Amino acid sequence: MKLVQVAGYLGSGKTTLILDLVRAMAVDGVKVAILVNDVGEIPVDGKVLSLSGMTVKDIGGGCVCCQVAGNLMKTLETLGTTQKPDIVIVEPTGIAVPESIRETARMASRRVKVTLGPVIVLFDTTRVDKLISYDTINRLVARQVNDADIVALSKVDAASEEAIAKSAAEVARINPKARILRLSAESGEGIEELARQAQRELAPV
Amino acid sequence: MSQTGRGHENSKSPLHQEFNSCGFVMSMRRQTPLGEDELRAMARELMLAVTEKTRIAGAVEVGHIKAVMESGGGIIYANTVGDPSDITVKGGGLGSPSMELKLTLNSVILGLSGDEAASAAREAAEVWAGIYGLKVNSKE
Repeated sequence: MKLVQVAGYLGSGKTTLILDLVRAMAVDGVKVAILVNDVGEIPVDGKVLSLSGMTVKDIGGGCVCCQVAGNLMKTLETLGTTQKPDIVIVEPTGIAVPESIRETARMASRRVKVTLGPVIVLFDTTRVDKLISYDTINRLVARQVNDADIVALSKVDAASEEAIAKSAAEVARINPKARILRLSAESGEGIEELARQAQRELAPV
Repeated sequence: MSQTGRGHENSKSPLHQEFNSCGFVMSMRRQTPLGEDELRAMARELMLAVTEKTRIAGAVEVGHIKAVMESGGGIIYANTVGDPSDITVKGGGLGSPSMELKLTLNSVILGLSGDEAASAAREAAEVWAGIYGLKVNSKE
């Protein structure tokens, strides 16, 4: 099974994107499972995602990049030995560090067959000033962007061209190697392209 | 949907030490049925109420407030990042209007402890419920 990570700061549009990605990827018999992590004690995103009719595994009780990393590993093992999906889309919390999750997946790959797909990080263009100006948030967002293979500039339908350009410049400064694309759940811009890239890209474990 | 157990917990990443979260479930009931349009309006009001109460409690920043409201076989979900102009309310599919409502709420806050964030969110939700004539039957 191939693991695709959809990360990004709180409120950047991860759950909405995943609903669209699943629709684009689950064609021709491709089995997609969703693994979702809410940082709060009571998971909410899993309830929303389960409406898509896909297999949804919900991890609550803390952040999967640190506090409950062991649960991620166990869940990947369970998925890999029981349901065996072709693609697992992981939605970590909005405060997760993507590379830590990748590391956990590498460890899981010693027990079940997991191939690491791309890390997609969403960057909310409508809040670029907040994301880059407040220290605590900026440090976290910079780390998330730094760990990305693909950065999707989200909510471009609601942001000014100036804010989008500023977001793209900031992302390119932090991670010059990341591919950057524009994304709008509202208009559908970028969804198909992102699904294509996520399916195509296979990084060896 | 299935949920994993809590299992072994490690310490928080240093990058998100200042973020704390809370979550709760409330089951409520009132004397008259809840329609879909009313639930949508209520969801928006709830986002505003929890945001405001959280800020009054001293939050530096609202990371995310998310709620799922289940009633009449349907589901309404709402979320906000603390900006009144950026509240999303989606979902639907309510069959016949019901007098029962189950609310699941989750928030991630910067600058409050988990207990402080929980108190603020619970208090806001209880006042909100009272305004709409809902009696809280149980809390988790």
